[in-house]
Amino acid sequence: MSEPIPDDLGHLLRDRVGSLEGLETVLLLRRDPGRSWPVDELAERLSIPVGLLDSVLGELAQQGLLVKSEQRWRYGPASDELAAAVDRLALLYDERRLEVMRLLSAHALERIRDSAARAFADAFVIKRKKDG
Amino acid sequence: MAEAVYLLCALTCLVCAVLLLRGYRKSRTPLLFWSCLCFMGLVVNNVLLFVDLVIVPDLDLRLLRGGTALVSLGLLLYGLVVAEAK
Amino acid sequence: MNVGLANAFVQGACAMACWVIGLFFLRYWRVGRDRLFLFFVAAFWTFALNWIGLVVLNPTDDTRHWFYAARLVAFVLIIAGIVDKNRRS
Repeated sequence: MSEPIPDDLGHLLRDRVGSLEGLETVLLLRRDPGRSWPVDELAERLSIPVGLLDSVLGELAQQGLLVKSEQRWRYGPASDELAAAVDRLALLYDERRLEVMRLLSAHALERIRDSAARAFADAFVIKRKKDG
Repeated sequence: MAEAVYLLCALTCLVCAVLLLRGYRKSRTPLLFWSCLCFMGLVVNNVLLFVDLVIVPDLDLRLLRGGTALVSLGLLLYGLVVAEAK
Repeated sequence: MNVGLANAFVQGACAMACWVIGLFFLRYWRVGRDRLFLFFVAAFWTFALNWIGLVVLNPTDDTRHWFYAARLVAFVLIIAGIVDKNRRS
């Protein structure tokens, strides 16, 4: 069997890409870097609901993977290292798709459990800042 | 002395239930809902304990007490296992 | 129905439930490292010990309040956890 997925790609997946939808979006836009897409065309092409896609795109832009100009989105990694990492991730996804998807599911489960735990712990904070 | 203990336990559970209810209203996390139910049930359990041992000592409320505790804990387990988050 | 037997069964089930609930809180602590969860683990495992003690040792009316002291310990742990959490925030 092959070695485990490299740590830096694991971090890239969890912290910047975040989800399977994010990964598919980035890889699609990366295939044709010069091209800018409007949201609805992307939504149709990826079979992702527009509402979900909007938040995914926003997140990816914030993480320095995509660029938005005039309501259209295109691939735009914030640095050369990031671009190189995404290239390696694309290769990994091609060769070991199931493993990548399994890792993404594990991250999603972690996030759910984490948010539930945090909500539980935060409930016991008695002082509240007055919300304006 | 023992009576004070039982009531303190009931009070602690009540505080937890109230805090969790407030947290649930804010975050809508299902885990908080089930935890809140659990602690409310434990309030009942502790009050029953007080009633059983202090107020009606000739009546045996053991099974009723045990039942409320078991149901309450079951609700919390449900929340932890199945219904953790949205 | 044998009430004593049924009661022991219910108490045993409660002890098991508290053991498992403690395990879940233990996992939350390991992931998020919020100390509050440790207090809850300790509290629920104290409940479990309380119920196990009640079944195994089967106390008389005089000694029974010792076991309810154990219950008090559990609730003090919860209170301590809440206080600790609020001090930290």
